Amino acid sequence: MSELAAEPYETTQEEEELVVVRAKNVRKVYRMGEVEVHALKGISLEIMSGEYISIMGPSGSGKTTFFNMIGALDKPTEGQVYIDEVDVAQLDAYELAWLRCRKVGYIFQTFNLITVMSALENVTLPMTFAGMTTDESRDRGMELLDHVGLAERYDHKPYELSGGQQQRVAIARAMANSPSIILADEPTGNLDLSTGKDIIQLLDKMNKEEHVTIITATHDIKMLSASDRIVWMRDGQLAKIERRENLDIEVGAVAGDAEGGVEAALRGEEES
Amino acid sequence: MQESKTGYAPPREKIGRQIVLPLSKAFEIAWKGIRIRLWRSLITMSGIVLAIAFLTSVWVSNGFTNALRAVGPQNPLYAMVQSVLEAQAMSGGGGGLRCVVVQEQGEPQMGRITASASIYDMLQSMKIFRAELLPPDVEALKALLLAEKGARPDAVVMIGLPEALAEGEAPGVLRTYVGDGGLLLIYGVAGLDSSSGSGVEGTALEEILPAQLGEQTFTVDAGEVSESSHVGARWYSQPRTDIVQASARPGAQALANAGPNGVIWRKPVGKGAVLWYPVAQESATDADQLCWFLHARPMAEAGSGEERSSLLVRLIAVGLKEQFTGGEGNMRGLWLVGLSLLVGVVGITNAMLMSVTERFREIGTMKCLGALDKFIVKLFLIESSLQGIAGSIAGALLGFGVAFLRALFAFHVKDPETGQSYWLAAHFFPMSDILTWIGIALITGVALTIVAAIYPAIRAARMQPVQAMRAEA
Repeated sequence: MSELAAEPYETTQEEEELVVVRAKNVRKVYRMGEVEVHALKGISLEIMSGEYISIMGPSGSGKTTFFNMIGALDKPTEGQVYIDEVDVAQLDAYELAWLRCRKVGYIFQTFNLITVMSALENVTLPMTFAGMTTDESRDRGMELLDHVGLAERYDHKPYELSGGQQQRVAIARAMANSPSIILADEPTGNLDLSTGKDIIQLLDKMNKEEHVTIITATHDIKMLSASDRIVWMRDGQLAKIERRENLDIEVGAVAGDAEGGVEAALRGEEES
Repeated sequence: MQESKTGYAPPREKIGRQIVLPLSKAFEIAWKGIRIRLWRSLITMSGIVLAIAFLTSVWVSNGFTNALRAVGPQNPLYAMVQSVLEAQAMSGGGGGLRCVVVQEQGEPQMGRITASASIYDMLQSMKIFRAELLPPDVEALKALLLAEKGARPDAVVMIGLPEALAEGEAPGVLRTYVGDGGLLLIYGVAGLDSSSGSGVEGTALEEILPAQLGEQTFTVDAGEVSESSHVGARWYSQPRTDIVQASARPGAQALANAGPNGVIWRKPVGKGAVLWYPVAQESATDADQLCWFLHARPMAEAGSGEERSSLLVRLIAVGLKEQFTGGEGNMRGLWLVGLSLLVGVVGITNAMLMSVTERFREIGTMKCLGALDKFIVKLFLIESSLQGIAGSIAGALLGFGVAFLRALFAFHVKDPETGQSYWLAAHFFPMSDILTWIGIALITGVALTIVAAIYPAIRAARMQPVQAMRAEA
């Protein structure tokens, strides 16, 4: 399995121009007291523009760590992460903030809406950070809320919204500055089955209509049907990369591929 | 990879630099936070309120005490007020006593009592007086003092003009001598006839005068009273220490040794008495300028009625710095203030740290959305300064209220005869002092809050977004 990790995903010359995220031999070492924990053991991956990619793997597989790396939230101990061909490690604080503000939209498992702000204010906050005027951001915010079907609830505070609605506000917020990448960390993790499905559909819709690259870290099998590629991680390494075409998945029924990757991953998940 | 997707290539933007948002935006967001988290903010604020209230109450209390020690039971001025009340009660408590203030141009400084207000203003504010101003004209003063009973003032206050008094004799005073160590007034005592110079039968003035004034007795007899030169010569020849009994600061020490009315020695004679008043005059600086309070009721009036413990002639010297600023009390005040400052800083820092900790996720989210470190710092500093301003104002008002109530009850004089209460803290309200202290407390409160918030704010801003996300599940 490890030879797969060492061997980067091969691309043709014309596809290479469209790479949004390129991870090159990324390693991450945490220090927990005396012990060094190798969370990532050299991962190389290229993510294409407009792709819908899911990163799957059991807890402790380094999935979240890797996810944070490609979202410019964390810096690798070794190796490079390029977003739009720019090495994230070389950016200063201002550039990093600019990148997080305009290039990347974040969606979290726990929604992470600012509790003191209304739905609309949450959506317009990134625009405020980007320097948009109040009126402009208000119009765009309403447009986005309308897009996720929450236009009438623009004045509601997060605690007045259901989980699914909060996540939809979060998606609208992630789209605020028309990012090229949306990073969704377990976007359906705190939602029930049907709400989760709605969110996945919404992400899919964003992916198809806005051509935004979507990268999710997930346990949710439902996610797989929407994904173009699924990246399986295990023990800080890439275990397997699969295209959807090669995966025979129907929601609710998991039929593992020839290598039984899905089942293996799920078993791993249950074990942990 | 699907064709529809690979066919789309978004324009690649060069990485820019995040703009720095104006303060108004940070203010807007911070204000929103305070409004929504009102209860949390109020709890944080209550810490500030208490710290500043404590601080203010200590300072304002000191302010009151400094101003009112002058009328405290230990201070001659207190006795003055009481004597005035007595006199007032005696004269039927009529509407206000007439007081003439002899004052040089400009505002005299009476030590710490009234840094800015003149004696005249002070007396006016006491309401028990109808004060009049008189320029330092000896002739005019003399005329005033020797006027008919109705035209004579009830009290004369002289500021820094002992010589004037020496020249003009107050009613009831047989002789006045001014020395640099004090002022000797020899009052006409019932039985002593000032005009004839003859004393109480069988009583030589020699016997009346205190032995401790010198090893050698005053060789003054009744016949010699009128001959001022003799007594005067004696007076001047006495070293100061003889009068106040070995004190480096004769005036102050003598006052400390003095009885409640500032009398260091008293000898009852017939229905009257001879009183000795020491006066501090160690330096002639403005700050030490003396206020001579002379309650110029003629002795005859007081003595002819019932026997009173003292003559209704009083001289009170105030403006003795050490009277008002006891070294020990200052140390304690300093300790209290220091301690409360410390408690304030620790409390506010703790409250702000709590506020940061419980908002880890919010901070992380904001950083994910493109907030700069600076912005987070601004957010927290604005929040804390708003809390600081509101808390300090509330605290200062609370502290002032407490201090004022305390002063009101601590400096309370009750007329034993009429039962009327005099709330000296209200009469002597040291407005400018109090305002200054409240101002200082306000500035301190806001400054403390901001200082206390700097560390938590920087800590919040430095946090990596990932760390923030990881905090609390």
